[in-house]
Amino acid sequence: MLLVATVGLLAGIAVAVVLGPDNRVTTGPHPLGTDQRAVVSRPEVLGWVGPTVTITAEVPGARPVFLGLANTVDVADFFAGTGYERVDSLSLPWQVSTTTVRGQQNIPATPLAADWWLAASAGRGGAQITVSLPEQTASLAVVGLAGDLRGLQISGSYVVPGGFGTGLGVAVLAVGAGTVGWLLRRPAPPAEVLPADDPAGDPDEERVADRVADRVELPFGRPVEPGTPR
Amino acid sequence: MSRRRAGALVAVLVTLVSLLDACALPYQRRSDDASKIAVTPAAATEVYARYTRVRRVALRLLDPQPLTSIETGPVLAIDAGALRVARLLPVDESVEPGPDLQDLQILQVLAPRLGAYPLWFVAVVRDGVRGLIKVQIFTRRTSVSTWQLVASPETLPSVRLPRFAVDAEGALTPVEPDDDAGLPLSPTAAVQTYVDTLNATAAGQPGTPGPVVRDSFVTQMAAIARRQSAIEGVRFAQQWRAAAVRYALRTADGGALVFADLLRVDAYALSPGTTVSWPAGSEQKAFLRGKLFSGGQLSYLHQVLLYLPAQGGRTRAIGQYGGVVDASGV
Repeated sequence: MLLVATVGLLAGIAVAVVLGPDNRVTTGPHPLGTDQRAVVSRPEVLGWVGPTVTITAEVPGARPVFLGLANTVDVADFFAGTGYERVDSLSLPWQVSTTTVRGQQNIPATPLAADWWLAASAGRGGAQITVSLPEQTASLAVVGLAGDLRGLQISGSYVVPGGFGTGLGVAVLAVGAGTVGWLLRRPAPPAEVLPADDPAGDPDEERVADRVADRVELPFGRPVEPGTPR
Repeated sequence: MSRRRAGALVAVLVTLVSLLDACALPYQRRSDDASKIAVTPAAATEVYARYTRVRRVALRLLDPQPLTSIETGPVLAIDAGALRVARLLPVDESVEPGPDLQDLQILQVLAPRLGAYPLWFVAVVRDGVRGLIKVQIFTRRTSVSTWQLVASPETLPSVRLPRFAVDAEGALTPVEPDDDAGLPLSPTAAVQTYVDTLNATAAGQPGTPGPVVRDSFVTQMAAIARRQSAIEGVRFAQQWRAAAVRYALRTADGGALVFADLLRVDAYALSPGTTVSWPAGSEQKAFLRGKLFSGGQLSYLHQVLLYLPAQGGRTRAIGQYGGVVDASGV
């Protein structure tokens, strides 16, 4: 119990420290600049389902930029024929491999007009989305609305709703459990050894006393001889 | 185990279970194969609302132009032809179009899981004005185009539409045009056989026995051919041709529903000295205007909904939508 409590305490504190009061694990900003008009991720890059992530794309010079997440079928069709930087894999904290897909510089339409984005945002100098990663295959797209994406930087954070509180809760719980465990492990009071006033007493009574004394193991001091009068 | 120890253990377990229940744990996606169910019911409802809004304008103005944003392919040609006929024929100006110009209610929307554009979905719609059921297909050609109606065969309310087969996610299961698994014929072969039957009956031949039922559509088209052939001094020929099959769906009974686009050409060759006057209000009158002196032809498009029962059954039409789309003649 004490071991479990110790592990729980350390884990709870670690979770609370890593997430912080904003419940986030953050990485970045990381450079992902390209002379292409867009950066698009393969579906394997966002292979997890369920976590809520916040992604931020920033470009220098207050240039307009679009950031969106959509089903890979929609994204693949939208960028068919367009040149873009494809993110093939990503491992955290930040190791990314990319491939340049050659094509025309123009995009078929403004991405803002499409109705199939699961989450989308646009802004000058940067854009940010917060989205729960879906079950369907999804791709992230960053589009330079006025040209290429030189100087692009990407940040990501994984939001664990209530994670900070949960970490603290686990730590507190572990402290409580440890206390309970310590109390449970406290030595029991020494067993009362039957007095042998009459050594020649009832032989049955003596055997009972022997058995009881046999089972008593005193944690401190000298063991008591079974059946020995004090 | 003491009562205190058991109580502490239960408390720890309850807390752990509550924590796990509170946070939905992320998990790795099972497959990274790109695909999507073409449309959600909510999105389909929006698509249909836009469709009915624009269609109402087109019907009110008798103008096919607005339809070009909501329809494409044969169904646009058929509707544009119908509006052209309506516009060219004399109209009683005193009669205002009623508020019940159209009354379309979606009964069912189903979409397949697709790996690439074009996307499409099926809407089963009740036409309250005409008392028919429309089995419509909307398609989205690319990610930047709008949804457009591409097929709209109609069935009588008395016709029992086979139930669509759906997978575990409720997605339609399309049948490839050349796939004959579990079917007497592939969709492409079934459509071609049906066209052969139409051509044969139009020519007064018995038609291919066996795989196709001589349904009401076949007999109606044969009757038209017979009536036109009976005009004195006129040589009439009716020819049918099929477009490539694009949409076929598996039905729950193991059969298939096939959306067939058929082109029909009615050709008239007049003997010297013969003229033909078309009856007032007919589509021939609208398209060919005056009399026909030498010859001419009218082109029709028919969208026929064919039902292919599972192995052993015979192909038959359970719905159609068609009309004249072009004409020439002197």
